[in-house]
Amino acid sequence: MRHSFIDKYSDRKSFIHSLDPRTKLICFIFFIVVVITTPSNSFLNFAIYFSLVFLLILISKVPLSYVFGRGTILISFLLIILLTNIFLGKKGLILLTNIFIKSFISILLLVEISSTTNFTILLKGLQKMKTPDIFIQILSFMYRYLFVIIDEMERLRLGWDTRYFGKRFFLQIKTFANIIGILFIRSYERGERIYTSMLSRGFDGEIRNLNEIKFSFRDYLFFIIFIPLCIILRLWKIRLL
Amino acid sequence: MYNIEIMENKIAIEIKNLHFSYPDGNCVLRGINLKIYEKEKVGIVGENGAGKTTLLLHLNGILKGEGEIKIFGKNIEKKNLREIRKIVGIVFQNPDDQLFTTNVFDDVAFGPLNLGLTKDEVKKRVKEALSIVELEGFEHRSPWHLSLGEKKRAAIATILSMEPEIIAMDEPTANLSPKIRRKLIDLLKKLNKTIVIASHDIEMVKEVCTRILYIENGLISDDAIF
Repeated sequence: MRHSFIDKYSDRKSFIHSLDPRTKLICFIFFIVVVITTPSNSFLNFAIYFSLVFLLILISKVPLSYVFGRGTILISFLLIILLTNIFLGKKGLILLTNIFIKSFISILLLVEISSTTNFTILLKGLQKMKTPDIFIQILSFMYRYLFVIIDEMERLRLGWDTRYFGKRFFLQIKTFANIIGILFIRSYERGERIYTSMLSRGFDGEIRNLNEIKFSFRDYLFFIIFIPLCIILRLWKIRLL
Repeated sequence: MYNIEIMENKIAIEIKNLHFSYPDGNCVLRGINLKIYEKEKVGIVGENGAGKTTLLLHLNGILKGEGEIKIFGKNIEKKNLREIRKIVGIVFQNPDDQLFTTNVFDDVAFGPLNLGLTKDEVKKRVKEALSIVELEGFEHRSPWHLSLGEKKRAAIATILSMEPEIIAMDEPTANLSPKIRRKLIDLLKKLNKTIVIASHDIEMVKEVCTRILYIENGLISDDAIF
């Protein structure tokens, strides 16, 4: 219960929250495509895109620090790879800033989707959009059991900490390997038990649920405003240059 | 008087000479013979590792040992497993193993949907099951946001929604606070079904059950009806 959750702010109320997950997925992915296809030297456009993302976050009432914090964590992995571009000279520098800006905007949009949508509902949206069932199941189990496994790990750590007082560190490496091994075995056995409990409720390979998400007036409104807006922003650039 | 009444009912579970050993060679059941009548409430007690859970897992064909098990006269075979699992519902010891979807509604609806019921029927069943375990309004909560007692009751609801004839429970009162335990006992007494409970909670078994089996070394060494 101590863990922060992927969709911590998903139960707030705002226009963005009330949209159907499919609307958000389609519109934001469309926006990402627009961002990616923009030529690398049109910095004014990127500024406008950025302010649009900023606006979306403000409308959704998710704390800016949260979205940017998540974005920064994700981008930091990319940064290590990007920094090697510096050695390519001026061309490399343009490439670097270009990839950095585009990926940062895209990541912010994805964080915005995941933090304004309840994960369960997001999965239902993906399911309605004909995502293969196996992916939905993997994601759903991951989301359900991630925290159970973290709890299990913490219990094992606690057991270790109570009997380890901080000497002979190198001898402890073996213990640590054991802990990892035990964690694998416990996860595997839990998987087996879950499977039996699914079997005893008539599971036959297909996950069925009542999928009741519907497009509403708000969704059509968002489509009508957002998609043309993206196209206009994208085309506007060409006339500027 | 009561026993004779029960004896007039149909035989719900009939087990003949059941043997089972796990793949690692650990022999757990060594010839179980048992008849359980309809509407009977049976408690199974015994030492740790005596074979209580193993026996329960045989009741709907999850484990297959040597011997014969009949549920309402039907042999458990591969071709009628689906049918058997409609009749026998098992509540596992750890509710985290039973609640595997991301909200309570989906979990309770999982069984009924697999039975091929209509949408309205599924919703009705979920509502009924949740009201029996007093979890109305928990439909959209996530399992990891529930307390252990709530999880346990939700796990029971996932089985109740399938409306099985026979309910098998593994340690239903383990880790529950006295208050929740009391609620659960009252709930079990209220249910008019065949119930098989494996437990260490002798007090609970005494209160809920009409018959107690004592398992020792993979055999039923005592069978008391009261």
